[in-house]
Amino acid sequence: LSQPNDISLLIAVIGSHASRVKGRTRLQKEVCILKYGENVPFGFGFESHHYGPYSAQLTGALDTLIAAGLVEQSIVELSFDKWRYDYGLTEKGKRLFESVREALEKSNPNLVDKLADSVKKLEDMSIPSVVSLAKECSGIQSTPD
Amino acid sequence: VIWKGMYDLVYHSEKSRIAEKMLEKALLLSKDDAAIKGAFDMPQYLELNDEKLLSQLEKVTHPDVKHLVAIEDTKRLYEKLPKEKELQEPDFHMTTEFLDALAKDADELSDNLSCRLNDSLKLEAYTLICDIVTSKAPEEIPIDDKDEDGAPIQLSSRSKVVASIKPASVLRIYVKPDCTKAFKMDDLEHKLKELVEGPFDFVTTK
Repeated sequence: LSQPNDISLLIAVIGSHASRVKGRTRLQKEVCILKYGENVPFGFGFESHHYGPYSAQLTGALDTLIAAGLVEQSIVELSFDKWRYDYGLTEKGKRLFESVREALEKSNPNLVDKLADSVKKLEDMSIPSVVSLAKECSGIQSTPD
Repeated sequence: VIWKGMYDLVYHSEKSRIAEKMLEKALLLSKDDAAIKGAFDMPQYLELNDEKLLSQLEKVTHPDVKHLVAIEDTKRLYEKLPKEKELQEPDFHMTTEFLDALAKDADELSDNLSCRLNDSLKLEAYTLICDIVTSKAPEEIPIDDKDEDGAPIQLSSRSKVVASIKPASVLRIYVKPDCTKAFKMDDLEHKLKELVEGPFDFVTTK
């Protein structure tokens, strides 16, 4: 079976969310959990960062998708001086996700369902729980302050 | 914001970017030359500097290399085609393979595109040089504060100016002097679209 590339998997993760991905931190930790805890074949390398495992390659891939017009970033105001950046697929991104899903179903039949189930569980967890699970799965802790 | 302005000003400056790509292609064409290979072996590598490298490249007999390293002669500098294109929908419908290669190594992808574009237009090697210039959003910049979950607060969540800096991937094409009429612009645009959107097999060497 062919190995899906990181961009396909990342589109599948973002597309599998019922709503938008709530913040870059959440996306980072979810992908980390999927890689180390669920054996989703992501190639992104993770290292210790201020708030647990972090992948610069994942940041680069997300930026590539934003630049390509496939993922959009939206601002959610949390309070008067604080906001969060959420991520979702654009209409073009959704169309690409459909073709990614079809390709994955042929090459890795169980992967799409596994991803959808895992993302659904992770989406319902709080950020501290997701961070804690990412640290546990990967064995990568936060860098000291 | 200063970082972004300085980065674009210095690293994306048109002429220095063209010169950098010409030097890169000269090195790629000379990679089997004994003197060039030797320059990257220890201990010669420790003494290597730009002038030594240029002087070694000037000795390479390959005619295209001679042309590419004549950087000081401004008339030999490649010309940028006026139309530069953002690699984004709806102008380009990129495959996940292409996007993956773009995210992993834009320089290698640019070289891959250059080689295939010249081949498909039946032009000599590096008559056209493709250059994908990626402009990043600022990476995570934590400020000295944490939110209620204990997560470091990022500068981009306090500054809408910083947050407004968006990533972009722009495709520029440089053409060898005196070769601007060696191809039709319509053919070039058609082939380029085919290459960006078509089947793609890319193996990065990094």
